[in-house]
Amino acid sequence: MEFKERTAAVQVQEYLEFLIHFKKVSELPSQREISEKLQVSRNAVKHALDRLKDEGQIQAKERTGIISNKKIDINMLGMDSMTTELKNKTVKIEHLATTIEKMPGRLKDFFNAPEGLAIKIARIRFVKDIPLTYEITYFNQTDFTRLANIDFTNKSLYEVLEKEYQIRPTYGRESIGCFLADEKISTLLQVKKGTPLYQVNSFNYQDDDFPIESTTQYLLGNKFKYHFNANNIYDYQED
Amino acid sequence: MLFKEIYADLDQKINNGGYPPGSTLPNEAELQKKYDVSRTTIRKAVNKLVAENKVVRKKGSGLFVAPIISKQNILEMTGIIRPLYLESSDKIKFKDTYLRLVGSYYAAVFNVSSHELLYDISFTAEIKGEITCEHLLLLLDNFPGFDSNCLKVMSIIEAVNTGTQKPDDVYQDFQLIKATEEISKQFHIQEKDPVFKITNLFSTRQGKIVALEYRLQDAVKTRYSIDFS
Repeated sequence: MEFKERTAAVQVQEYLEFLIHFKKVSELPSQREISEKLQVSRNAVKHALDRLKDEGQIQAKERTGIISNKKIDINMLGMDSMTTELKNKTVKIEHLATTIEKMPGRLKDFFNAPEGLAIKIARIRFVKDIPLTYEITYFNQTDFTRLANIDFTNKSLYEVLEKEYQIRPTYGRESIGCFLADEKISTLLQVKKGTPLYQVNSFNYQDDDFPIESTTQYLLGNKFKYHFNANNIYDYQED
Repeated sequence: MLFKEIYADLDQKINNGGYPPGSTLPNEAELQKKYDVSRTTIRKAVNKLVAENKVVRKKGSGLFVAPIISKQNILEMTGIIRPLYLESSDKIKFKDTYLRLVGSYYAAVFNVSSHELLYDISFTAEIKGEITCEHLLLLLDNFPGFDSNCLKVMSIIEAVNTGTQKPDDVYQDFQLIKATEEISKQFHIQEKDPVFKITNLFSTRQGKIVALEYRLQDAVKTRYSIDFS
């Protein structure tokens, strides 16, 4: 393989990533400072900044210049609830509504309940008064009847579950996709229609394959990121 | 020479690591010359290896030793996020492959001197008509003589396991970002449309990072799944 110098724009990008991620700089140098320091054109600097902006690593701030954008980093592994994930933040939970509905078609298999009713709990989570997530959780009504009467304002679902039923999910499956905010969700999350959101569907069980709950979460795309940590990845082999 | 003897010779070289997984085999014309037999004999020997899934025949790129990790293996890995469709490296197109200086950022990421060298490999993979953009960074020191052609048949998770230091763990960072101009062209979407970016950091048990992979996919068309406990 041949040796090649990185392009000027790539050099600028990596220099800024170094400042953001390792020097933990929150306010970046100006375009002129960067171009002088690295001896590259202003165009290369602009190109790199655009790229970092698209990646959500930085954001432009009026008058103060460019600052790094700190996303909320969620660890997807382990059965910690969202409340635990956001523990260092001032979180408020608004309980929008609890309704009892016919079991949605897509959840019949999961709950093993072809007929019957579901408890549907809709909530919004605010951090510093900014709505960040919209969550809809389903329970099988026959298993968790009492949950229908509980006010979940500022309450963790899993804590209530533990208190009321001495039960806690131990394993699960999630699928993540992207959803462009529709009329309803854009109003709830106070963003423009079409804003990219993470759509996370989770299916959570207790040890003995007992289905506890399924949640669909909508999270603002530019405010969150996820991480996963897998160990011994090559030990998947045949059990 | 009989085709069975040629088959046995190639088979042995594959088994004892003379031709490691993912490596390029001589093409049929070269094999014909080497063994001094007819093309039909060579084809019969190769066909048998292909039928036994020991060799992969890639249209337009030639013959490769089959990789070890299958799509099914990747699906069985728990705790790793992956697209809902199976990962297969159909139609690989290399964009850029070169050696470069590590530089200050990757010196900090890999914890090496900024004057060391890195392979910088960008390519696109087409899976069932959907494009994935891949960007792979490997320390030269850990992958001496790395042949990027192996990526035509091998998953990245297996390719990063071919170096002198083997990874055990992977840290995955998963983000929604906006398409840059170049990316939007690759995906045939609008600039600023949503794109999923996965960053995979492969490290040894001692925490030494040996490889870094960035993967981009059209967010509206891709769903991922993960199992955990």
